[in-house]
Amino acid sequence: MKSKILILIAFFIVAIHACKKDEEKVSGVTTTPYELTVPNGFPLPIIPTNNPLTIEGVELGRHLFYDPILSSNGLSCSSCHNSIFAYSVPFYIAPSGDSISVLPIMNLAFNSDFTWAGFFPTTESVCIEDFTPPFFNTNMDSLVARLQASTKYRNMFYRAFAKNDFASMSDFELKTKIVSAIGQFIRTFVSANSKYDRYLNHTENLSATELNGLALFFTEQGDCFHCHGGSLMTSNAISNNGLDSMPTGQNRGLYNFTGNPLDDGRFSIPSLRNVALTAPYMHDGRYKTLEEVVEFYNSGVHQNSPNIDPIMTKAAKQFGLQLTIYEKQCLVDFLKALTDTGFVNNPNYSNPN
Amino acid sequence: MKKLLFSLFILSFVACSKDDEPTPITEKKLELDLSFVSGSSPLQFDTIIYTNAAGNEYSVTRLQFYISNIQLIKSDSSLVNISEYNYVDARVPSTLTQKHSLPESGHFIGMKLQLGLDTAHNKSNFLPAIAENINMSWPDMMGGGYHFMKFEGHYVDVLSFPGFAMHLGRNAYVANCVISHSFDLVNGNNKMNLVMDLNEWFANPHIYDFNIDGNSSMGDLNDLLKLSQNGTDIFTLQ
Repeated sequence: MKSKILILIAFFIVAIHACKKDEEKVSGVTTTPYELTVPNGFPLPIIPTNNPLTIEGVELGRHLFYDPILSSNGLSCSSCHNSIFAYSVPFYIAPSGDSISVLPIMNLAFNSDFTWAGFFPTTESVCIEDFTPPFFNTNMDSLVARLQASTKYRNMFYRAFAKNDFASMSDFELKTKIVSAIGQFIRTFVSANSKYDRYLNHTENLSATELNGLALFFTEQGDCFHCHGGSLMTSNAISNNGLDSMPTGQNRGLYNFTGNPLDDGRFSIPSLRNVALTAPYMHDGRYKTLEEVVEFYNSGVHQNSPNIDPIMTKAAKQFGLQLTIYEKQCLVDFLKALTDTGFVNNPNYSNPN
Repeated sequence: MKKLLFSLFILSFVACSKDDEPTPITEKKLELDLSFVSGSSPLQFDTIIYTNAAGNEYSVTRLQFYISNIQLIKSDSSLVNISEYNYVDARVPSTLTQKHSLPESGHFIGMKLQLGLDTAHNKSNFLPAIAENINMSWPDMMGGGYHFMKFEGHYVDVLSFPGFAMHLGRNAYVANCVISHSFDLVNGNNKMNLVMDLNEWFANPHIYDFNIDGNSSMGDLNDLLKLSQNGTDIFTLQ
């Protein structure tokens, strides 16, 4: 009789527990939702429904991000995404010989398109390409063996995904779990505490030149705000800013992925947060300094570039912005006030190994 | 003890069940379907096929705006409020169908609405921080609040194709639209088409010529005034 009562009580507890939210359970293991802090003024994060943030997934992603275990050539994600460059690196040389300025990792949870061309809809869809040459060039059999031999990863995968028999997974399943964890980790990278943010929060003043730069940035004189305004310092649009009159090769941007002539020369507009740390600039790193970038917008825009954003061809810009030397320096000073040292030094994003 | 446990057992299942379905009642609803034309031609993005009253041949690359304070005009000129504000992106189909609760059915002789936001809403960072609202911000240094509209494209200028950016904003330049059109709305579901004629932004009462008035409006109060006044008759109901 006593055992029947105990069974009934146990059943009761299980039945009540079953009413709890599904996302706390991953096929038998309990995961803990990761509460992403959304800074004031930021939009809601865009989290794929099939990859919600969990504390276990983020922790696994953090270890994988820094670990060359994923590659057959000693590379890890952090090889091209170094904190001192706001999780970018100055250059990546593609097999084609093209130079690519690596985009920083920050505020990706609020992004709607990824990579310079803006073709990829999620971080996961970008990361899964990294197993192939020229990136990790991963030998999947070797990777399975390395993970299987690691007590740490067997435990962490089980806690995050309730599965750690790597040999039983297809290559696609294993890659998907890896990029899901890394995707979760890098979505936690939030940068919202630059000097400019503190100015907006009335906790720090900008210098006179920074204030002048801010005024240029947010008025039609500099007209940076249409593409780089808002809390993210990007509109997340895909646009042609007039870099080339006749784009060729990688300079054709999104066209190289879609083949649509209307996409010729169009690139995803990058955030300007931490821009002083992410030189060189533009997709191909053609400008080495912020001064060169400002001068491009001041006098170098190719107004006949195909599909050029109408904002770039306003009448006032027909002969360039015509900024003075002082004004250009003010704009650069303001851009430098977008650096968030707390972000690049955040221990939560550092190498745990 | 056994009865108590049995009750808890039953309760544990009942607690998971859905709430009782409410008794259905007939709701009055109005669905507004937005569409866009230029004269008699439907909107087709990225192709130069339209000609405005000034003779400018133009294309459209972006059309985003707020519609607010939709009111139905009754025969006795009294008004029925049906919406606060809605964001529209002509490239995003989900924003083109707007469903509203309808306080009253009956006969109406027209509709009023604002292209833009009223002063209560047109304050910096006032609207929810979603990407659409953030990207419509109008900088504080230029008056603050939000873009009421971003209407952009390219036009033919001799042998080149410069862009134009008809941006509307600032409290004084909201476009107050009045549509004279008799219609009846019933208890239950109603559907109407709200059509914007893009050419009307460039005419009535002011001819707007890119070559004379300029190809951007944001920083020019005269251009903003022209657009806001031209904007009063951009919509028709069908």
